[in-house]
Amino acid sequence: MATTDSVFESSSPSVRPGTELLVLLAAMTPEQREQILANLATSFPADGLVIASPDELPTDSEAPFRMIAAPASETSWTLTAADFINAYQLAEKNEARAILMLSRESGSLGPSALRDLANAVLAGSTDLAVPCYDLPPRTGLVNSAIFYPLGRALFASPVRFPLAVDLGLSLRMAERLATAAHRLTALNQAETPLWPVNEATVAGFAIGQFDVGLRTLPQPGGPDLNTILPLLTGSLFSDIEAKAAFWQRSRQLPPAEKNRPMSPASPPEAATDIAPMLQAFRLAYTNLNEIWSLVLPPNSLVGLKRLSTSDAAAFHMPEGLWARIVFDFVLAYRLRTINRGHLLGSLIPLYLAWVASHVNVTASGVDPASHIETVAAAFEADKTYLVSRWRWPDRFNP
Amino acid sequence: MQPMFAVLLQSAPNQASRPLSADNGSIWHHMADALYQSLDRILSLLIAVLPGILAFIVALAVFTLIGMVVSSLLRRGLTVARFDEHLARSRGGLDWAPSTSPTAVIARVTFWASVLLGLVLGVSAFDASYSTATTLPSSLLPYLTRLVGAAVLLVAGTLIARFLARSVLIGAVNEQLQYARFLSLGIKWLVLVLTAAMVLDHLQMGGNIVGLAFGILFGGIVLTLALAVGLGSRDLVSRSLESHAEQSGERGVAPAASSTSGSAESIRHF
Amino acid sequence: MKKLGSATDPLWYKDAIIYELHVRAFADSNGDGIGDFPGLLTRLDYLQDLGVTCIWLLPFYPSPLRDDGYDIANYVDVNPSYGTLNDFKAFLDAAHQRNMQVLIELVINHTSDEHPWFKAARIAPPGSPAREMYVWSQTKLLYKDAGIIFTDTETSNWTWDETAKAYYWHRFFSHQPDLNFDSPEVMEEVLKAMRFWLDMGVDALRMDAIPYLVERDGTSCENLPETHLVVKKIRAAIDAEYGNRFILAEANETPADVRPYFGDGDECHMAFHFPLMPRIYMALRQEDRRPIIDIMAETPAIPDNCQWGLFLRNHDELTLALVSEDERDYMHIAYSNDPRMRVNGGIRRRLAPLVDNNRRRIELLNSLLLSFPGTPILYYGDEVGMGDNIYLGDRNSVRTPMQWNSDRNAGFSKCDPARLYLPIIMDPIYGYQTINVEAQQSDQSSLLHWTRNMIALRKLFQVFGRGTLHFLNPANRKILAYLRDLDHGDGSHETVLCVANLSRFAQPVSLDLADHNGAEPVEMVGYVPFPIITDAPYVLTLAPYSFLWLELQPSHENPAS
Repeated sequence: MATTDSVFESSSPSVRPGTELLVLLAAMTPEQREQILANLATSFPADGLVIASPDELPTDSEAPFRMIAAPASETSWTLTAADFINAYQLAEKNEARAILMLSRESGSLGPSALRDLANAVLAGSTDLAVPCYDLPPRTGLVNSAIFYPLGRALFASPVRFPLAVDLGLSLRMAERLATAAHRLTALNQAETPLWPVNEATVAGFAIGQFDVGLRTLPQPGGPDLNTILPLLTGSLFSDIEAKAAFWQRSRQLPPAEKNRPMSPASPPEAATDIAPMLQAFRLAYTNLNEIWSLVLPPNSLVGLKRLSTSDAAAFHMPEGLWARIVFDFVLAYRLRTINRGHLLGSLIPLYLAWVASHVNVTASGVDPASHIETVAAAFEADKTYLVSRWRWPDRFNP
Repeated sequence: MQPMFAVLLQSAPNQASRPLSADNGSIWHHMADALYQSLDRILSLLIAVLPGILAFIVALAVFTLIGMVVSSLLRRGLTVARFDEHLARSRGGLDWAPSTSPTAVIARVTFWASVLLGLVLGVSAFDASYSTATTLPSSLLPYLTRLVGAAVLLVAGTLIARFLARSVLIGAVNEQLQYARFLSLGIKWLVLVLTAAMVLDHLQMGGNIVGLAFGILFGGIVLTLALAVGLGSRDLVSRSLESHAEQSGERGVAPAASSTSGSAESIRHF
Repeated sequence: MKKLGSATDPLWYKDAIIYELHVRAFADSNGDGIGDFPGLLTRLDYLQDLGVTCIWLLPFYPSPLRDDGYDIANYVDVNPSYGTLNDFKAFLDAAHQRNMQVLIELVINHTSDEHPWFKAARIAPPGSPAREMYVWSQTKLLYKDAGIIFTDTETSNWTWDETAKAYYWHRFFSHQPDLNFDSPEVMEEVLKAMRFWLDMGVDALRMDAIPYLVERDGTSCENLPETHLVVKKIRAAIDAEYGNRFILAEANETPADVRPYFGDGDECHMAFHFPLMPRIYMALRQEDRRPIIDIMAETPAIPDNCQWGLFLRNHDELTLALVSEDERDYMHIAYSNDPRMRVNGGIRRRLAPLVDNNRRRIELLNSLLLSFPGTPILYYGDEVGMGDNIYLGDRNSVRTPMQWNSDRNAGFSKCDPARLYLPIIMDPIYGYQTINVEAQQSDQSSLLHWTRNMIALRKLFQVFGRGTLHFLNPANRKILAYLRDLDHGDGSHETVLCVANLSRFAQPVSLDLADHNGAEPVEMVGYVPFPIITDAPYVLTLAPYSFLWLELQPSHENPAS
């Protein structure tokens, strides 16, 4: 994990005036990096910036910024514990006051977005600046289905993309995240993601959410949904379990922020055929029902049975049912009802069923963003169910 | 007692010439003689065996005590050395309850191992002191240990079979394989058959027949599974080939592998 | 001159507490492993002490016992395994001496195929009176719209008989041919059998499987008008010659379909309220009063001299025939996850195992049983919380021997345990070592004592058996609140407010009791006065699964109630 200073540094004095912002870039293509550097150049004075990148640095000295090398991260499509540790160490080493972490494909972020994120943490008013992406419909569904509603219900956090890949961090936020990351690294789980929003909420730090417009999110290249979803949900559920003392109390959501502009209403694309998804769900229902019956209460099982017999046109997973399913899985994760790996593996077909239902709902004309809001509201409304079952696990329940 | 009987025996032939009543007397003496001999045998057997029994009891008691001492020392030592936490760090995740932590398990295992050792030594001490007969215990003992080993194998095999069956079921369902349940049952029976064969082999029962039967069964199950997989998963294979081809091309633009990879419009989960 | 029964009030069944038991399951006196009447006689003191006023005996007639006695081979005798007719008479007299009435079964829809009538009908020429006592057909096409009841064992309602060279009709098991009520002989024999028992002094008759008496082609063969005529005839015969008796209809139908069995007060006096029972369990599990409210709203009013029979469990499976598909799925997932627990589409478990042996839930359900409008029917063993054995076949899981003490065979019999008609429950939770009458009698906090006290409390107030029912509608759906009111006719009212918490968490509730402004609720168990009712919403807090019975008395400050 040792960092090596590049040759550029020797010519600069060690103490810098002005903003001290460390920008940590993920591994990316040279074109992407050029784009980002160009954006940064228009937003910030050159001398207040340090750029850290794990890639091979160009030998030309046209770049106006000080560039240092950063250790490479194995997971390139989301921020993991190792990334936070790196960020903090680099920031300390270079005496930066704030950190801006940018992931792959962040070239699509405009200069104003970068400015917003960075200035918020530099000014000290925010400890964690989270972007709110303007995504086309049917992207970032895991965030919409699981992470956002859970965060909103449990931590009263309005952050729309808890698993954001670009973040602005103040130094104390970074320190806190690095401490949390150290714990994970000690358990050999350096590649699991951290949940900065939850950490910030528990610590009482200020969180700011900023619109950053459209961005193409990096896609996980290698492993697919079946490996990644259990990893992400597992780490979120562990985080929830660890912070149980905090979210047991009811919290008020901060007053609703101004309606963010939706992406221009694109004409509904050719209706996605959800028949294959339905078939997959039915297959999962026949095979996994006995595993689900160990985790879900009778009402949910009856709801799933009804779903398995509905046809494509009528396929709709009620929001309340989805909320209960996620809550029951969180509980089963904590109680170790069945092996955790098996548990999370059996959540995947249910999530895909939700996706199919979401596709159906949006195809019928409902705005996707408002549907997500309805889902999140259902999670909030049912929080008492989670809290009561958390405190008193009992199997005689509706 | 012996001299008295000897006197009786000696006096017996003197009366051989007596009338019938005297014959009864000699018959009585013969019977008495036979009784005496068998009694003598039993007594001498018991006397011979007694030290062996004592040795057995002493060995068992001594080793139980040793076991208790060693296990409590081990427990204390491991607790001080934070053995559990070291293990947790290297394996990732503290997954056990305090009563079944590795420290407790090791301490318990040590205790029972020492008791077992005491048992073994006691039996061999018993055997050594009981020199007259070829007894069952000496040949039973290794068989007993084998039984224990076989039982452990059986239990472990069943647990592994169940765990694997469920993992395979979930994995196969997530890959949308129609024969997921069949696959999981197949794996479970595969592991169970393997376990059964290992157990029988360990117990040295059945000999070649077991090996042959196992081979046939195992091969049959594997062949059935291979046929099922081959015939049923053409689309899975083609899908995975496609995604591999895309991966080897551009990095980072592969769509999330979901069931809609075939449809025109892509659903991004991330 | 009418022969009066042992009860003095013609409407005694409205105040009765009925206890359902099977002679063979209760107590064995002669050590053959099967309960009998002399044994039951020795246990009458226990029943009297418990407070029940009417004993319902499952069929004890001579029978090949292929349906646990419901296949009868002789209507006017007693099965020798259970004793003799004299033993029964002795029991009957002893019960009457203790002020208890006796309710027996009149299973007239079908007999056993070993009944002399059927044996004669087989060989009798077609068309003859003997033959026509049963329903015969040359084809299976007749009455094809009738459904099959025992779906687990039967595939058709017709079975071919080789001797008779014809099919005979049976709604239940194939060894239980249905009697043909179009034949005057059948009616005569039925009335003869009925008179035999009523003359002996039996106080009440349960008409088993009454909807299926008459068959007509093109119908479902249930609840036909001709069936009601038969019932009316039977009732008329009883009313003409006997007094203070009642007949109880077993009609597993929707409330609207059961209503005709009361007629205009000229058919059955009582009928079971089958649809309410699964909904009580559903409401408990879902923590929502809606299922109960809905079914009671569908329940029609009945004539003044008629009464509903309420029960939580009985000797059959918990029937789910009258709930919707979704509700059936829910009940199966919630209460009978193990397929072994299901039979004929219902659930064959006892009360205690159904609610996970939770004492509070048992008490809550019993409080509903005792405070709803109708006569409560307790199943033997449920007063001590007996368990079941789902590994026994058919419905035997709930018919195991009564557990009296922790001795051999749970004190049921002194015989060799292998001889018992069914094995005793002996698991660690419900086994006879822990759940038995003797242990609970010496434990003041036991369920037995609680049941006994609640029965005694209920008997103090006529309003429970005879009053009206009015549901309150508080916003909190986990609370079931209802008012029972009885107008004594002389201007005085007995009013009881019952509030039950169906949830496992404490609940607040705010009741609108403006109609009873000024009344003082007095909690009935402890005679504790509660705050006086005003115009404002009356706020109560209820602990998990708790219930309150509050008698509304005119307060001292405000005499006007």
